[in-house]
Amino acid sequence: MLRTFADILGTKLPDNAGEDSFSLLPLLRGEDKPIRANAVSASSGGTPAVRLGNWKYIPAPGSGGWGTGGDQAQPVQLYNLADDLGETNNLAAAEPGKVAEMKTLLEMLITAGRSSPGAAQTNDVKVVRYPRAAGRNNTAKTAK
Amino acid sequence: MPLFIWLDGEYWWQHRPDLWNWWDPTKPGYDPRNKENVEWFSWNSDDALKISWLNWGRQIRMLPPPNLMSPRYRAACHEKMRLLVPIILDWWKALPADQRHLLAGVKVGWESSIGVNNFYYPNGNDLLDKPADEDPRHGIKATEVPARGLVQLGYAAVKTAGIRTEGQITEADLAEVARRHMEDLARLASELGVPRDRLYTHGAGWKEKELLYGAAVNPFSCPGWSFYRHAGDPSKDAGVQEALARSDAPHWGAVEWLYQGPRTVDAWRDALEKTLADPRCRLICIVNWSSIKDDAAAHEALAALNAADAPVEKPNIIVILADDLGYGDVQCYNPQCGKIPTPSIDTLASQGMRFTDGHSSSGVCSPSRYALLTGRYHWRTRLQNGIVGVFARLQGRRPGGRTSRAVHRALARHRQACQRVPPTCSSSRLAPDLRRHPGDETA
Repeated sequence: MLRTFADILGTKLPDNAGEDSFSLLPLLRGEDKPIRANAVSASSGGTPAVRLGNWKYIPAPGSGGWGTGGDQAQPVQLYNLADDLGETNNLAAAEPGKVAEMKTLLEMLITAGRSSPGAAQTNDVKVVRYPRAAGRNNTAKTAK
Repeated sequence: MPLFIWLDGEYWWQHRPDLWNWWDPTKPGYDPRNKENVEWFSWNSDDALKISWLNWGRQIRMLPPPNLMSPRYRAACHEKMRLLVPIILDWWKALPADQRHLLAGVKVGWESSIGVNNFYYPNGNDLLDKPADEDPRHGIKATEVPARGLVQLGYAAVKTAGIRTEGQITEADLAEVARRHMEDLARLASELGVPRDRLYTHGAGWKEKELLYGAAVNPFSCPGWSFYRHAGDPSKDAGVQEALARSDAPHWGAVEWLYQGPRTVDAWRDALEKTLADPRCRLICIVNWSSIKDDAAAHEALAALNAADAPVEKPNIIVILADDLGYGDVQCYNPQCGKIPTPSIDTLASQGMRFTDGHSSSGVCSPSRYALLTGRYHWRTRLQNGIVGVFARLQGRRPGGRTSRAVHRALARHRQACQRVPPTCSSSRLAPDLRRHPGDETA
């Protein structure tokens, strides 16, 4: 929303604002080209899921929250939403290359401090990484 | 220079004798059934026109006017629009953001009407075989609706449209035919992707407040009209004002405009500014450029207008952020199973846009709101999981903490950019901390 409003108002956001915001104005004007290449959605428990096109990568087993869904058999989950919107067929073992690509993408989104174009920014804290390393402190204070 | 592209469906068809030649077997396109595609001077298709006249400064012979409601004529218009509109849109979409204004608009119709820009003298078909310089010269009386002082036309279109099949043609009949013609073209342009704020019709009126003005109004485009006698002050054009009162379009255009008053800088400037004075007027297309290309006063007035600081539009943006609202709770997203009537939101959606592929930063409340308010993923803050603690305050700790302060910082930057801060009022769990933040009196 933030970058959409800035676009409507004809103002430029500073590099340290709206780090993950994209302008939807072209869509509002009737264009149909996708705006974002990727998006991160976190579960209530904090587990991230990365979308890239039709691929969805979850660096943990299970639902990550209150639900009982999600594959428990493999350490990470990879779904192709083009033909598996219900996320029933975990392709992580079958698609190690795609898993590696998605893992790299997530790490890049974290370390760049932003997902929109612009100068790299700092996160407020050291972001928790998944899959979680055993014994790792969840609320480490050093920003990276 | 911005382009205003006219896709007129009325004056292009000299190269389509396969649509209009119904009488001459020796010429291309001959087919007696083409009577259905041209206008008639009675309810009988045997009285189809072979000729018509136009007077734009001087009288000239024209082809018979199209039957605006003929299916084959309509299909031909559609065929060309399906070819041309994507070319325009491809060019426009490829422009960088700071050049998008270069498409001022796309216009459909051209003073769409019957019997004015294609009028017909009594026994006009007989004149086709005689020299043009023997044609009558007295022309039409444009203010005498509906026949305009000459042979009544419109029978073909009114009959094909099913509006009337016998008796007297009325002013309302002809206005309705023109309206359907422009609405049909606008609907297609809209379907092909021309957004409403870039799409105009071209209506007209010659008699004060005649019904034809209303024909320019439809749900797909912005209305536009010709302005000559009221170019100096469109607010005095009662027909236009009545039509505008019934239009819900964001803009309208003076799509064919020429001020013909005193040739002074002040008079020209006054006419331009009075036309743009209506907040919904977005476009002046000056025609008959050759008549003013050497007119220093007109050029000076245009230069002065362009040099003046254009007021920057600051629209009001309202965000309605609902708490705990499911995708399927709103009727327009779930018409089959939605249990709660949501007529107002459904109306908003019908006049705007629905988004059906949405993603949230988080599956729970406060982090997702943080992301919506700041345009930044919540996990860049200390809120790595769960929600902001609501009971922390009771325990003497500050609720929200760093997360809320981050929201506040983002809003403050937003305020610098926009000179306004969106008021936040909700159960967001972020608001209490905003109100308490030192030095802030607005949130």
